[in-house]
Amino acid sequence: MNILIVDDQKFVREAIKADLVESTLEYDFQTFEAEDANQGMEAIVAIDGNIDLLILDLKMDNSDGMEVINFLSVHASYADIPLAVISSSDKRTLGLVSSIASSLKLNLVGVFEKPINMDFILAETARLQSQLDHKMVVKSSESVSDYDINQLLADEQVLLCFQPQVDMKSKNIIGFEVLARMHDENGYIYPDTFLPLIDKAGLNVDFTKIIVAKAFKFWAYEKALSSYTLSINVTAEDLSCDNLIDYIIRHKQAHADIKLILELTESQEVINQASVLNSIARLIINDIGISLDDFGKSYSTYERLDTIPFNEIKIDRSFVCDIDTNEQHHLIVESTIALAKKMSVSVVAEGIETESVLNILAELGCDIAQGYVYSPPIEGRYLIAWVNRYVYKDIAANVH
Amino acid sequence: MFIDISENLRHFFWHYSAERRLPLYQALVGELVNIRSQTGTIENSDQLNTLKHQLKGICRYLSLEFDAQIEVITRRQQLQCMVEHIHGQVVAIADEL
Amino acid sequence: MGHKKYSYQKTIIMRVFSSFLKKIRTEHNLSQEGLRALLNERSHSFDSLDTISISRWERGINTPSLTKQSEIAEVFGDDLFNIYSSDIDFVKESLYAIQLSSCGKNDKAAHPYYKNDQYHTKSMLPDHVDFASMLKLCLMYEGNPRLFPAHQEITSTVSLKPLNVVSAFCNFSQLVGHCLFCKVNTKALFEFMNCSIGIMELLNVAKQERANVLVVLSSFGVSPAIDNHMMSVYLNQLATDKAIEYLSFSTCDSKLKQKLMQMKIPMFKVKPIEHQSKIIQNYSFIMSRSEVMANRNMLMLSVIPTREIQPTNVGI
Repeated sequence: MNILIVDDQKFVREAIKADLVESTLEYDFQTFEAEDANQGMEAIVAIDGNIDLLILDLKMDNSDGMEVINFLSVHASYADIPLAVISSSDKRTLGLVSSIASSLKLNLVGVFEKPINMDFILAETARLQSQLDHKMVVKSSESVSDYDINQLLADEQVLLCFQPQVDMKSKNIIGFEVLARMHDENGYIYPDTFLPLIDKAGLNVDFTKIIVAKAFKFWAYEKALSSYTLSINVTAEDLSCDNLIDYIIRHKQAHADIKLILELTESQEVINQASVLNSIARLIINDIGISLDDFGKSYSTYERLDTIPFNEIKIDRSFVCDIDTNEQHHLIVESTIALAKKMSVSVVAEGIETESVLNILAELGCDIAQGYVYSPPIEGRYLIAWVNRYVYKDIAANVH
Repeated sequence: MFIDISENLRHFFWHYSAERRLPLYQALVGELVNIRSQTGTIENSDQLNTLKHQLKGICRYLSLEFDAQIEVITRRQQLQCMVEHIHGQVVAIADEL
Repeated sequence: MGHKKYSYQKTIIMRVFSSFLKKIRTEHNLSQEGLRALLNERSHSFDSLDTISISRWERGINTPSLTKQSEIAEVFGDDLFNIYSSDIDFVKESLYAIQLSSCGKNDKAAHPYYKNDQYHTKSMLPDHVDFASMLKLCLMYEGNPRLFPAHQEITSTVSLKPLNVVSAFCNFSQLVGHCLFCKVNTKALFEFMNCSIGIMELLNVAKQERANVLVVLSSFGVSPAIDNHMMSVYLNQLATDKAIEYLSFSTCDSKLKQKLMQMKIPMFKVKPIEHQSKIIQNYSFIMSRSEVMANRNMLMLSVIPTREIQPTNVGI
């Protein structure tokens, strides 16, 4: 096993080498050392990238572990080298470095605080390697072309589920978010599987049309639901399609009493601002609300806030679900709610699983709650029954 | 103020087999001497912080909970004092290795 | 081999459903057109359904997905589990499928002491004399630090009341499989998954509140046959207890996670747990009852009544 140690302190390098000798794991170690980032990068090139584990100190005299991390990400042949970052820095910095390495798609074993435990790092390296091998195997058996997306759409194998949105003060149901599922003879198919297929087949707009049509038909038919808002997910690309905007507006005009909100998911792609704004203007004129979904997850958050006239902000579940234990997330959610209030828009928190999170959100002044704490997405055919149970306070009593 | 770290040092070195102890000891002493001499030429707070960080790393390895003490060091004399404190005790157990 | 096996299953499914349709039409005095109209009216999933499709379904030429079958069954006050578990051929085929490896891999277990021999299972509740020791073994295998307090409370097993342990043995004493599950309440379950409460509290709440979710804490078998057998135990429990609305898994066993993902069960959450300076990943899954019943593999496993499984010396 080839191990490259990049650390400016000789003592640390010696300690790591000594640890390897003491290691209970059976490997033949060959260690290489480097005193700074440049030497480290030279060593990687000299060994031709045949490194089984790279131990990298983050903060070195005269140089910086990040240089090596960037070096690895830039050269495809080195990006696979298992990387263990070590440091005496604080936990937040370590957390940040971990996120960066992961987003650069490096093979990160972990970020470890000094003094490091070599046995543990070696075990983690081995575990990571076997997981990668397994991923290869699983990927090939689940070939994406297993599904004939055109056939599924033609056969009406689309199912709508609805997740309730509850007003935090009154505890009344305000509306439902529409979540699509598909199904075939083996079972349900979920968005993370079918959305890429739909995208690849260029059927995004057709799919959105199907969702809109089904949702409206369902809402129009079930009078008991008509007082609840219908929230449907659309992408920025959807909004640039005039044909789709016409379609949505026609449905809204045909059912004037149905309250509709379009949840605009953040996308990293460059959108043609002019055509999107044009579409949004037409939607607003026709009494259709705009909600900024996954708020805070991408770089364009504030740009969107500035340019798009919206009625509602939806805080992403990854920030919400652990505000009771994660201080950073607590701060982010707190400020987002404050921002929403200043801009006089309503704020929805999604991904709430427990009461303790719900209580904190109530204190922070969040308007609307959505999450497993009330219900997972409910299939259309069971929706009325659920609403009845809730309204008769069965479920409500449990939650309080 | 004298803090006896001899037990920590013994615990650290005993972890390793006899033939690893000497190179480790030499590396440790080398680092401490290095930090000590660099302390003499400190000109700004950046350099001070770099040396503080290095010392912190070493102390962590020796299981010395000195993070807090190192954090509050603002003058090079304080750093010098601390390094000498540790260095002296490391040298003192040399015979036992 | 896997492909052939599935075609035969599909044939049986088609036959069961077509018999169901014919029976329903007779009972309610409906023509095929009448049935189409009724479905169109009562459900939102049959807008483009035509009479010809119904005719094809009855003749066994093709069949709608289990999800659609389920909707049709519900219109008539019935459910898939009922329909399929009453069909002897389907149950027999499911039993047979259990014995085969689901991926067509070599079934000769590379196991030190188990070589596709006879095995028998024992189901234990906390008041059973062997419960404590079997639970300990399950927990050791699973390695989920959040379950360890249950290990310490072993002296008073009454406090572990809603827990179910099923163990599989060969040669009278060698453990070759197990599953650990209990019926709890969703609210408490999410609090457990988010580490707001521990396992003992979860079990405690389960005694007081109405249970609506079956959570599996460990499931394992040395061979795919035993693995599937263990799964069928709790799936059958779910199917027969109509009060249970959800199925959930909370496990640190990456083999089980892999199996669930291959069965296309969506993962709910991955949570890292710190334990003795190591990080262990905890995987959780949750599905509604209708999602379970629409999953062909799970439906097949659920219809097998536990007492009827006769482990045999089936060679591959």
